[in-house]
Formats: sequence, C-alpha cells, structure tokens
Amino acid sequence: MSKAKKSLVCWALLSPFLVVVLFPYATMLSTSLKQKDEIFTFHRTWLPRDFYLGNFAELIFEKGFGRALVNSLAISVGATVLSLAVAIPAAYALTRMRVPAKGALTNYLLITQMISPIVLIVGLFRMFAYFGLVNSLLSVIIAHSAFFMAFAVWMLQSYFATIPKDLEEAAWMDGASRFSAFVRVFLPLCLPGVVVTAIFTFVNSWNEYAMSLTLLRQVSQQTAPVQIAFLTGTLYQIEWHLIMAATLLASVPVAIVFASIQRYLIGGMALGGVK
Amino acid sequence: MGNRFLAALVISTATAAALLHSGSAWATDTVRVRVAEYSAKTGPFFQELAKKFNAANPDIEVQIEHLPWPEMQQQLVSDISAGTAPDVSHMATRWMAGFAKDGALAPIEDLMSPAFADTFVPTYLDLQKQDGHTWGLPIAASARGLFYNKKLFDKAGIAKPPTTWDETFEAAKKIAALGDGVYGIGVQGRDLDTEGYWFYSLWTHGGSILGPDGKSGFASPEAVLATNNYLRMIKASVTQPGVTGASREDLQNLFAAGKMGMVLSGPWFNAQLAEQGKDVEYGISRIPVATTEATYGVTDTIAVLESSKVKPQAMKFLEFIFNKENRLEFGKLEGFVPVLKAESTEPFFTENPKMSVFLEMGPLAKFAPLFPRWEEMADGLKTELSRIYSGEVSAEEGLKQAAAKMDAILAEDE
Amino acid sequence: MILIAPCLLLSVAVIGYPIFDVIRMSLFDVSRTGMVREFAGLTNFVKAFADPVFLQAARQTFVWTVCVVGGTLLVSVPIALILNEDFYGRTIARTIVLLPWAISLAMTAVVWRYVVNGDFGTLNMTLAALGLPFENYPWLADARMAFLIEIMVGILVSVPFTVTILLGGLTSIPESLYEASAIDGASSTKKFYYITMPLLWPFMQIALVLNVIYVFNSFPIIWIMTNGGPANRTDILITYVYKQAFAFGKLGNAAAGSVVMFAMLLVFAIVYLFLTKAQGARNDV
Repeated sequence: MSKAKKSLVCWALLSPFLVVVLFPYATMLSTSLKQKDEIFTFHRTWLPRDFYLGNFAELIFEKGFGRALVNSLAISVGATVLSLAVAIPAAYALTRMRVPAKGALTNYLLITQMISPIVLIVGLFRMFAYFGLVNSLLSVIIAHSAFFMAFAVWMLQSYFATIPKDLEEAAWMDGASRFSAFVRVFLPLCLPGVVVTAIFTFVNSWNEYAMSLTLLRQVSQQTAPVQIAFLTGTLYQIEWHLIMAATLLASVPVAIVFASIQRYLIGGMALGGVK
Repeated sequence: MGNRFLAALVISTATAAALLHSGSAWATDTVRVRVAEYSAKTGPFFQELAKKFNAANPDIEVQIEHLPWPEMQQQLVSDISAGTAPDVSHMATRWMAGFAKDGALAPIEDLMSPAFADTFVPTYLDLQKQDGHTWGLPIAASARGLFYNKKLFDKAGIAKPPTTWDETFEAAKKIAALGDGVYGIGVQGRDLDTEGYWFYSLWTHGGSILGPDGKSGFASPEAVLATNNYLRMIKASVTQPGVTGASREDLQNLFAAGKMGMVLSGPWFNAQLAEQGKDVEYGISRIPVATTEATYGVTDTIAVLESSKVKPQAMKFLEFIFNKENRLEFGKLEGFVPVLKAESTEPFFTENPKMSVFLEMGPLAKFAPLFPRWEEMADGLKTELSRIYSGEVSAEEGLKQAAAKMDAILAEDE
Repeated sequence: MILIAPCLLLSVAVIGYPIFDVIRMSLFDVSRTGMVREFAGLTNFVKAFADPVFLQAARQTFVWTVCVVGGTLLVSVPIALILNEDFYGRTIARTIVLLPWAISLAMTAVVWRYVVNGDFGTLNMTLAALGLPFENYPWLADARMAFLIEIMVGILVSVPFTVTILLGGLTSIPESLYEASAIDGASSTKKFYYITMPLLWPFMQIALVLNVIYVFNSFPIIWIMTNGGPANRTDILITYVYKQAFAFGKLGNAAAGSVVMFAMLLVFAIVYLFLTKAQGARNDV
C-alpha cells in the first residue's frame, strides 16, 4: 500500500471520531460569532448574520477575561513548578534509593487520587481559611500541586526507572557528587518525561474548577473556567454568545501547546508509563 | 460654644467608638456583602451602589462579592463552616428557614427602625419572618403571569387571552395546529422552579401545599386535577416536546424565538425579551383559573449573618439599598415587582401593562412554605412530576409518593 | 528520605485534613452550616443505605463507570493503532484527537448541553439539514437517551488521555519484533494478537485504573447536562452526595456517602492489585 493510499484509509477510519471532536468546536465558533439576539431564533442557522467579533472584545475589555486568563496561567505555571519540585526528588528517591515502606507510599499516593476534590471541598476550605490563605493565588497553587502531584510522581517514577544506572555511576566514578550527577547527567536524559509530566499537570490545573472557585472569591482573582461558569450561572439568562467565545479563547493556549509538543508528548509517554 | 462643641463631641465619641471597635484609630469598618446574580448586570449594579455608599459614609467600607446562583449554597455553607462568611448575604427565601434554624442568621427586627420596616409592602416583609423574628429583607419579589404571543394568537384566530384552563387548552390546540414548529404552551419539567410551574395549576384548582390537617396536600383530589390539567396538554402534543427535559430557561428561549404561544413566567422575562425577542409582540395576562384565582409569589432574601461583627453598619447599607430611588432602579434593571409601598405607585409599575398585571396579582399571591427542609420536599415532588409527565406513572400514584416523602420529612422534623 | 519528605508533607498537609474532616462528619450529627454536633455512630450510613435514591445512584454509578471506561478503551485502542501508523497529516490528526482535553470538563458539558438542545442546538440543525427526522428531538428529556449522551461525552473527554498513554506503549514496541515475525510469515492479525496486544496490555491496565478513578468521581458532565434528572435516573453517587450536602444541607449524610464511595474505589484497587499480583505470579512460573 502506498503512503498516500494508507493516509486516506487512516483519515477515513478516524473521521467518525474526529467529527465528534470537532462538532462542539464548530458550534463554539459559530455561536461566538453571533450576536445575542441571534442565538434563539425561529429559523436557526450555522452561519452568523455577520462575522461579529464584538463578543471577544466584550470579554477581554469589559468582562476582564484577559485577566482571568493571566490568573489561570499564573496558577497553572505555579502548580506545575511546585508539584514538579516536590515530585522529582520523590520519584528519584523511589527509583534509585532504598526507601522504607516504599509500597505503602506508592499506594498512599494512589489513594489520594481516589477522592474527588468536590467531596473534600468543605474541609479543604476550612483548613485554608484557618491559615488565612483564602483569596490568595498561592492557596490554589498549593491545593492543585497536592492533588496533581501523585500522578506526577507516578509518571516520573516509571520514567526514571527506564534510565540506565550506569551513566550516573560513571559520573560518580569521575568524582561528581550525587547531586551534580543528578543535575548534569540524569535530568537531561529524562527531560522528555519531565516535560510530559509538566504538561499533564499544567492542563489539569488549567481546567480545574471546584477548588479555584471556592478558594478565590475576589473577581480580580478568578480563573478562566470560573469566570466562564459565572457567565452560565445567572438566574434568568445564559449568555451563550459570551460563553462560547470564552471557552474557545481558553482552549487556544492548550491546543497550541498540544500541537507544538506533539512529538515530545508521544515519545515521553513511550518510555514512561510502565514500571 | 453651641455647634462647634456639638461637632467636637460627635467627632470624639465617633473616634472613641471607632477605637473601641477596631482597636485602631480611624479605621473603617468593612462590611462584606454577597449578592447572587440575576443577570450579568446584578454584580455591577451593587458595585455601583457600594461606591456611592462608601463615598457618603467614610467610616464604613462595603465590599461587594457576587456569585452565580448555582454556587451560592455551596459557598455559603463552606464559608459559614470555616468562619469566613460575609456580613450580609443574599439567598433564596426558601433556604432562609434552614440557615435561621441552624443559627447562622441574625434576627434583624431590633437592628432596623420601625419607620424603615414600615416602608415595605407587608406581605413581602412578613415572608421573611419566622418564630417571631425577622431574618432578612425581601431583596427581590415576583409574581407570575401568562405571557402570550400576539402574532400567533392572531394567526390562530384567538381573540383574547384565555382566562380559564379549558380556554387555555383550546388556545394551545389552535396554536399548535399552525404547524411550522410552533408549540401551543410550555410546560416545565426540570431544574429550578419546576415545582413552581406546577403550583400555578395546583392553586388555581383550589389545592394547597399543606392540607388543613397539617399534612402534605400534594396528593389531594385538587392536586390530581391540577396535574391532569397539564397532562392532557402533554398528551395532546400541544406543549413543547420533551417536557421532562425543559427548564425554565428553555421555555423562555422558545417563547423569545416566537416558537411558543403561551408560557407562564415572571416579570424578569420582560428584560430578556427586550434583548433577545425584539420581534416578539406579546401580552401578559393573569394565570388561567379552574376554581380559584392565584399566582405564585416568590421572594429572595438578603440577610445579616449571626457571625457578623458589624451588624449595625451592615444594616445601614441595607437601609441604603432599600431606599426608594435605588429600589426603583433595581426593579427596572432586573424586572421585579415593588417591595416598598412608595415604589408601588410609580408609573413604571402602574402604567406599564407589562408590569401592572404582576402588581395587580400581588394580593392573590401564594407562597411556598418556610420549612427548613423544603428543598428536599420540593425535590421529591419534582422527581414524581417528571415521572408523571413522562407517562411512567399516573398522577394519583406519583403524587402519593411525593406526599409520602413530604409527610415523612415533616414527621422527622417535629 | 529527605527527598520524599516535601512530597509527603504537601500531600498529607493538604489532603489529609479534609479526609479526616469528611470521616469525622460522617460519624457525627452535622448542621447544615458544618457545625459538628453529637456523635451519631453509624446513623448517617444507615440513613444513606435506607435511601432508595442512594442505591439507585450506586447502580447508575456502576453502569456509568463500566460504560465510559469500557467505551473509552474500545475507542482508544483502534485510534492509537491508527495514529501509530505513518501517514500524511498524522501530527494534525493527533492534535485533533487531543483537543477535548483542552477544555475543562464543566465547559465541555455546557457546550454539549447547547449542542443537543432540541430546538436551537446545532446537532438537530445538522441532522435536519441532512433530511433526518430530528427537527426538534429533545435529547435530554428521556432518561435513557440522556444517560447515553452523557456516557458518550464521558468517553469523548477520556479518549485523549487514554490514547496518549496507549501511543506511548505502541511506540515502545521495538520494530525488530515485527520484522522477526514477518520473516516467520505471521499474518497481521496474528501480529496484533501475539505482539501488539501483550505488549500494550500493561499500558491498558494503567489507563483502566486511572480512568476508573477519574470517571467514578466525575461530576461536571452529569451535573450540568441533566442535574441527575429526569427523576434521578442519571444521578450517580457524586451528584447525589453533592445534592445532599449543598442543596439539602445534610452534610453528615453527604460525608457518609463520600466515605462509601471511597470504600468502593478502595475495594476496586485492592481487587485490582490482587488480580495483577496473582497474574504476575503465574507469569513468573
């Protein structure tokens, strides 16, 4: 089979799923270009009356959606950095050193993933309120890191296990300290795995809703998902045109990241994932 | 002496009071006020009010937080349990009883002056009272009416809006017969206010939520008649398809698109129609009647929390938002009926046919009971209504279940 | 040990107290504002199990989890196999497959609720334009149809994660294995059963375990699309618990429900560990 023919078959086989994926995006695009009085009309159409960009402008200039995106970005980056900062040493120790009760520890991390944050929200809030951390981006960064870290440790651990020990040992022979061997030899080798783990954490944090909603009360601190939810939550009217525009905007950064790190993503998973 | 002495006295006592209160001189008292959003305009409206109030009262700083309705309960519960509750919070009146019972709200009858209390329409203020205390102020009030599409009525040859349920059924049939994806009347089957839509029929058939024996009236013969009233419309396919999947919003959107002949809704719907249904010519009439005239009155409450340390200051802000001028602006913005006596005579309400009908029906309004566990009872009713509307069980059978659930909760709480 | 301490500390500090709080509330009489009153023993649990809606939600949770996770694997394996082939536009195809991941669950649910709206939704608009009789079909009015749609959306949002894991597994299979089997004259079906599947299996296990945990606890899709209705037919445990806590103010019951949910997942994890261990032991022999 020629590559062209094969490509055709592959696309044909994928198309049902791709249609389902793209359908909501088409809906978002169509609706976000409509004006408010075009959403519920007697005769519905896919195409907007004219390609109205006012919804995006309203979001960014009047509703402060730009600020929400910046908040989301700050939290996601913060949570990614913090969770990697604690997960990398832990994963390294779990794969390279003798750790007492290693099994129990891994199991404990799995268990923390088993409880939905929604169930824990009251307790979580009480605790942060007690320490006076409500209404600070830091509190959400800490909460996100704690919840997403287990997955990071898990992924990194299996990834680290695939890196041969010899290289590090060779570096020790050359007189490098354990730390410098880790930084100079080990980390560069497992960079793809770290990147993938970072992306997972970033996306999870970017999309998280319940904790951000509860811990951040000031409008100026809202994250993107929370602000979009606010547009849906008014009692009498849902601002569909703005919701669709906002959702589209919020997904663009993530989509770009996905497209640009494509090879990394798959390659990184290849070596990680399995014990 | 004279004025200057007086001024000095006032200033020094005020300073002393401020010192005593916050421990630092000239500190302002912060009052956190939480409001829920009726529309995207609610938050900005209260922000603006707070700005004005703060400018006029340098010793108080009001901070507005606004939240979407679906998150209100969760956030309030989390906050009260963690001791971070605001000083003043907006809530549905039906949640008020529960919060009051658990000691989360402050009784306000001693905080407000009798003159201020006297500015309210008594019906609406009375709804905020329970066990001899006033737990809040009616921040929003609405009655319900029948919205009808004049163009569709003309097309179907219906001369005037129906006054009885039988006439309504006939009108709905005629409109549905127009075809082209047009529906006669909307019946709501999911989410917020589903039980309210049923109360319209219940009360106008002479039924009641609580029977004379103090037990649930959900399964009374009147209630069965009221349910069968909607059921005949569903069976004749003169309603929108899929009643159990239609929320209040869905019905309003259909009406705003000109696809629905009649829908029962409240004054806020005017505001939406002005924006989204510009082409729809509509009128509003009283809720159709079987035996008794009635409408569903609903209020929302703004309450002072028991944990607040600045209750008098909070009250001062409440008195500010409930002055006539501010209330009128709010009423116009969101489309609510007047809660102040002085507001009720304003031309905006009396001479505007799209508001006056709600005002006229005010005295006929019936309300949902103030039980701490009303949400659960209403949820049980909603579940059964949805089974009845989908044809899974008969009205008698479903309502019996709903009544049993309500009675069980009543018995448990006594 | 020092290396693990920060990780453990963060986790215990942030997640530990809320877990303790939930367990405590499940054993006490709790007011709607979270005041813990007197010790109630197992009353909250007894009440939960006596509630027919709780049992119904538990059954539906089982159906939901099995269908979404099963469906996800069923869809993801072929997609991963195709995306592992070398064809024109593969990077674009891979990016599109990952797209559902770029939107938060809550927003996906909001958008889908609009898509399947009977009179204004884009789904009926498209179907009707294709000449199909779906002019104003109310997709969410019938409980079974609504649940089916929610399951489909659940599958859709779980696929990107699963495909990523499986693709990782596929790229790790050395090309030499296939070449060797080609020399032996194995058919492509045989190759799939004897090489691909066994090597992919561990990756599928990971996807299975993580998906079960995530889907079991997945809240926004059902909450936003049907709110558990019509007539509680689409309620799952997490939506039931949320209603108990925040709509009805029964925090004690909600906490008991949460503990039961946690116990269910724990049982699943133990059974899974037991099965894989047993299997591992057999393979070693």
